[in-house]
Amino acid sequence: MKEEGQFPSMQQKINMENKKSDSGGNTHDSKSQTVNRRNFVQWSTVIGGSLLALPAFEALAEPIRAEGTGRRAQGELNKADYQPDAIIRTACPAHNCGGKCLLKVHVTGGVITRIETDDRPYDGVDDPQLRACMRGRAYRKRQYHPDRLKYPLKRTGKRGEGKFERISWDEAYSIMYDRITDIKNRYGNSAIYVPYGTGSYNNTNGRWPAARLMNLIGGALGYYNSYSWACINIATPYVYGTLDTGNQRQDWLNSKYIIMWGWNPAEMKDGTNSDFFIKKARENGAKTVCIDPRLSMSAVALADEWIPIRPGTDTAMMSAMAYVIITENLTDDDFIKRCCSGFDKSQMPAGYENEESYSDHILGTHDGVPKTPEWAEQITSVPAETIKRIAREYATSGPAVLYQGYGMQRRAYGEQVVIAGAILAAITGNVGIPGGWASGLANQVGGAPYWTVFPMGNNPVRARIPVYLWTEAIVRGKEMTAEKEGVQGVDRLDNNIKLIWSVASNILMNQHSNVNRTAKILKDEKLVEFIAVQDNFLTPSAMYADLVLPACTQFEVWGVTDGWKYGEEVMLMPQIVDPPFETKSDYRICAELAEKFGVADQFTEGRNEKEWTQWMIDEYYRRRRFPDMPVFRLFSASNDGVYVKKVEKPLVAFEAFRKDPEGNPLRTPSGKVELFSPRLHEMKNPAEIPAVPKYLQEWESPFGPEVKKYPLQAVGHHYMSRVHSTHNNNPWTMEAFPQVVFINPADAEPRKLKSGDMVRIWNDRGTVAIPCRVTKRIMPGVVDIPQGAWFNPDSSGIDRGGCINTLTSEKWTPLAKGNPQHTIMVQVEKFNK
Amino acid sequence: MHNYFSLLFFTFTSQAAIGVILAHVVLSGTGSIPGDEDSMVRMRHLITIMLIASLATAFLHLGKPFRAVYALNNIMKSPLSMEIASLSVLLAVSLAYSWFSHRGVINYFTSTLPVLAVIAAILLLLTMTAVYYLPSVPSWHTARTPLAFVLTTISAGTAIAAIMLKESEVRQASLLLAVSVSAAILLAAVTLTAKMGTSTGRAILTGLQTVTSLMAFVLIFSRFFLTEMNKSRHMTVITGVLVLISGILARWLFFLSYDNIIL
Amino acid sequence: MRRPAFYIDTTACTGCKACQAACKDKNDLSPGLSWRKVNEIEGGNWNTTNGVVTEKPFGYYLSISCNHCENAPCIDACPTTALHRNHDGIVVIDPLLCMGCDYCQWTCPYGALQIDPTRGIMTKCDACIDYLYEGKNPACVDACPMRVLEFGYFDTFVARKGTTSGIFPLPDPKLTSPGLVIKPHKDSSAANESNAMVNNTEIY
Repeated sequence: MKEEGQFPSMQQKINMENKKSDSGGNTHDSKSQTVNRRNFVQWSTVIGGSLLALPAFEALAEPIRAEGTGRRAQGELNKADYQPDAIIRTACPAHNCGGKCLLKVHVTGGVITRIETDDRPYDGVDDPQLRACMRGRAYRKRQYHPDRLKYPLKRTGKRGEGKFERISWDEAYSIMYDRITDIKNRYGNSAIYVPYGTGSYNNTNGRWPAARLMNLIGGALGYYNSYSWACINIATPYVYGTLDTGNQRQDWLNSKYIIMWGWNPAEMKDGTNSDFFIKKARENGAKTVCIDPRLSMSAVALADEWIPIRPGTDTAMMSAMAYVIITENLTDDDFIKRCCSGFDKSQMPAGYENEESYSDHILGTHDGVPKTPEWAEQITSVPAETIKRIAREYATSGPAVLYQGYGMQRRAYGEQVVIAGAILAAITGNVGIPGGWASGLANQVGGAPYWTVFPMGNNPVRARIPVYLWTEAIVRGKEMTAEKEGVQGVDRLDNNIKLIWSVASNILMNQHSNVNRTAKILKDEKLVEFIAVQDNFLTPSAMYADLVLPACTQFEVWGVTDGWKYGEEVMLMPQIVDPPFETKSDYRICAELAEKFGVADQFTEGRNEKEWTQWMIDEYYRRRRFPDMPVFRLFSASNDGVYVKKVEKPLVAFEAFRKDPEGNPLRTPSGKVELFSPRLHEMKNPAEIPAVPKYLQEWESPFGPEVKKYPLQAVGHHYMSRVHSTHNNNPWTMEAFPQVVFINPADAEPRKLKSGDMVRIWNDRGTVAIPCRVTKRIMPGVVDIPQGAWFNPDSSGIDRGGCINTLTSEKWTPLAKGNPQHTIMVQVEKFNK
Repeated sequence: MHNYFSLLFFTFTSQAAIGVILAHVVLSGTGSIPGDEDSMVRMRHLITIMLIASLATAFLHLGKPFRAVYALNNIMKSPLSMEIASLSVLLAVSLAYSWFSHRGVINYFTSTLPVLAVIAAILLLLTMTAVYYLPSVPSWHTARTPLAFVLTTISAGTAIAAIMLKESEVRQASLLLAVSVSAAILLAAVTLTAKMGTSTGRAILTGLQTVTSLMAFVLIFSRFFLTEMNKSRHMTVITGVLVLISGILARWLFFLSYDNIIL
Repeated sequence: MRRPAFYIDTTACTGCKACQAACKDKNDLSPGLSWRKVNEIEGGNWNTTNGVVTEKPFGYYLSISCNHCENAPCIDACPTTALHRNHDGIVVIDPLLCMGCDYCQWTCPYGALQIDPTRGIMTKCDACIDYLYEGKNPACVDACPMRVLEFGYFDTFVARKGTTSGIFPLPDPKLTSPGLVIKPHKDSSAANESNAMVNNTEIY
């Protein structure tokens, strides 16, 4: 082996020379050893001394800093650098979250640089601050998202491929004019449809200007109802004759007991401050109970008790509660006698004396099935003792609130749970008293917010379809009837839908049920001949458009908005920054299109967006609801952002009615609260539309044969990261609340799933593949795929975006013709691709 | 823990360097190796290279490497600051010693630099241990941490030192190694049996850590490897690589056990 | 010097993360960086007997930023002295001194410190010092839709009944003496005895 270091080092040479001078083979060199020892002593003294001088060394260390840093803290640096040009108070861009909150928007150099929220010094319950949620706070990430549409686009590939080319606005308007005119001429205006869309409620952005334009050029197929409230909207009047069944929310502070049934105000929002008011009610002594298949954000923060319940079985628990209340004599007999109809045989309307009354159904006198807590236990998985206790508490804690959330009515037979809940309020006498709550849709009594005040005019086309049945109207519109499909205004539609102009809406290919089915329908150009989509982003709906028009955001145009179902405020939304690239407001797009149609003057009435905002404030809001509101000129100059009418004494719905039912009859056949509905009876569909509220097993449920193939129920709750499908691309919101499927450990374990694993969720209608999050905060047997995620099919058709409507069914509810989008059965398994 | 690979390399390499320094000092102090033979000089160069490598790694893992000099601002309170100071002193000393060795110079410095080096090396080991012995990291706030570091120092250091020696020097190295192995086994026993913090998993990780550190000894100690090493340079390299792998594996297991409280 | 502190009423924290978003917006935080993090805690068990739920789990939220601890381990650990306490007791990082060694992050049992990969330095909540100088609250406090966050003096908050400075998953407050006063959620004591866990650990 060759030796390391071929050439002897200098030291070695010296050693060898030294060795030579010694005798023997002893390699020890005592001379160098002595030298070493002496040096060692010398040097250790030096070093030792130095070590003792360490404190001095530290002083030497002190000045090792860059020049001019001193001790400047982060905050001081921030303050020095940051100087906005303006801070403008406005509303959060008015999406359909349920909140209408105030933002303070900082603008520097024409760019929004910071977003704060309401900081008015007063924060009392009568006029609380309107604080924004995380979606409002994260809005800059949406406002300046790189994917924002910039130019009009024309489709080049096939529908759904997402292949577009840029065109000019002139060409875009020409295409719109040509195609609309063509359809009008060949079919008629009723073949044109401007779909439901809630992307903007600031009046100048949104489908409202489009509806106005259509109404000036012959109209378009109308719709009624909504995706939010189909069942509760239709069913509530059958009980109360009105939708205004809600007290002003400050009245909750008078309550002693609040049931939040399927209601999650902390997350979806349902009115800015609703969650805050519940907190205040608790501080005032109310006991709160959350009944929900999920341990939701509201259940965590607002409830004294959480009761998990199997999805779709709420009516059973309500019936059982009624059983307890009736058999234990906890009913408010006075209210029932004076103000109700149909409670028992003695109260049935003329001609219906032998029909099944409400009590008959609850006690089982007609069908032989008493709706006992024990009966309900097996259906709902809520212990009988709990049902009894909640019933007693609700009936006797008084006054009590039973707040019905919208998730449980967005299901098969959702009408039943609405009526059942309202009647529970009635029989316990919680109607028309402070601290009570009549349930039902609960629009605020005494005047609810308007939402849309932009005048759309009258639709020359009288035909209206239930909003949920637009795909039927494409495929077989001319066969749709009033009776089966809920067509209104005419007996029969005279056209299928041939042209769709979607504005501020993602219904087409994301929010409507059974996306794969819709995709097939829309891909067929012989069915819908032309699709135009107007939006901020290339949404899944826009992917199926023939023409994409880039709209600006609500920060980029003047507008105005007011409260939610409740609320006493109007918020002025000035234009804060300019629309980028070639984006325009929906109003402007429609106004310029109106020119092509020759109706520009009628459309604009000589006003631009700012002038329309002024009109809406001065001529609409001030005249109809808020005479004390400052005029636009002063309102906008003040930069207050919001006008609020304080709620001194909260109004209570049905107060006058309760005191004097004969003098203030309800708009029902009997003039009273209808526990038995003759109108429903006359529909002669007792199996699906009974005259008294009944628990009906859903057409996709864990009790049906479908459970073998699809053993899990799926719900799609309204997620904090999005407002429906808005903000799906907001990195800050999606980082905090990512799109995952929530699954219970009991269901995850046999499938060998742990949090983060990719899973596929499927049924006959489609397949979704997203990561899972294993959590105890959902019932075993139920999974949750938060709604609103963007449909994103891969090459094999599997939706990678996590859109729950890949799994939902287009079947509609019997009475309201509404959307049962939470009635889904699925299977889940690990997915390794 | 995020991005710990550079720290893994840094701690292992600097501890191995400390170990080689100690082995070097023991070997030359006990007179096992006559004078300054090639292997001892090579050892000094290797130490310098290892120290440069670890300081460079520490430097490059910083978010702002060019501010590294500020790291000396807080040596009285921050163990990390003192660690960087010790490492800097150690590197300076080692560079000087390497330089002098390379030039074949003997002077006052060459006899006192080793002493300085030992002091700085021990200080480095102590402060490095203090850096990791944090109350807020329960899995590291146990006796396991100092033991792991000392174990790595001794095992990797002496193993590398032994690899650098030639056949004629093996007998002396074997003696040294035998002592080290006994100490290591004792330390391992203490490590495994002492109360090591949270769970059985941790204890198993600790055991694995110890075992992988010991792999280095087994490799060297076996007579077969010792002879093989002398027959072929390739074996030396392979053995060296095996030592590195086992040491890095042990350190990787250490980092895997990081458990900050809130997680 | 009176100690500054955050107060959080976890009985009414909905986990909405408006505080987190407000902080990110005000401080222009790079993606992936959150100075205030909301922990989602859950625990307990599900049990059913004859198809009926007899035992159910619990959950709550805990929103934490920097607690500006009295015995802040990060200050002593910082080799460059970038981390220091200002005259109001707020623990701040001098962005011109920090070299981004990440050591302070190890020492903080609350995960308050994070490296900003785009700037190469450590960052953390500074209690919005610039807002404090203007007489305003930190951004997170005024953002909370449930009004559960406050910022003020430790001695004021500690005087309120039924408060504590450490609930699951936080460490023993004796470790660092955090400037944090918590009104504990009704389920936070159950968390200690049970299999509670933080279910969104990706935030760390």
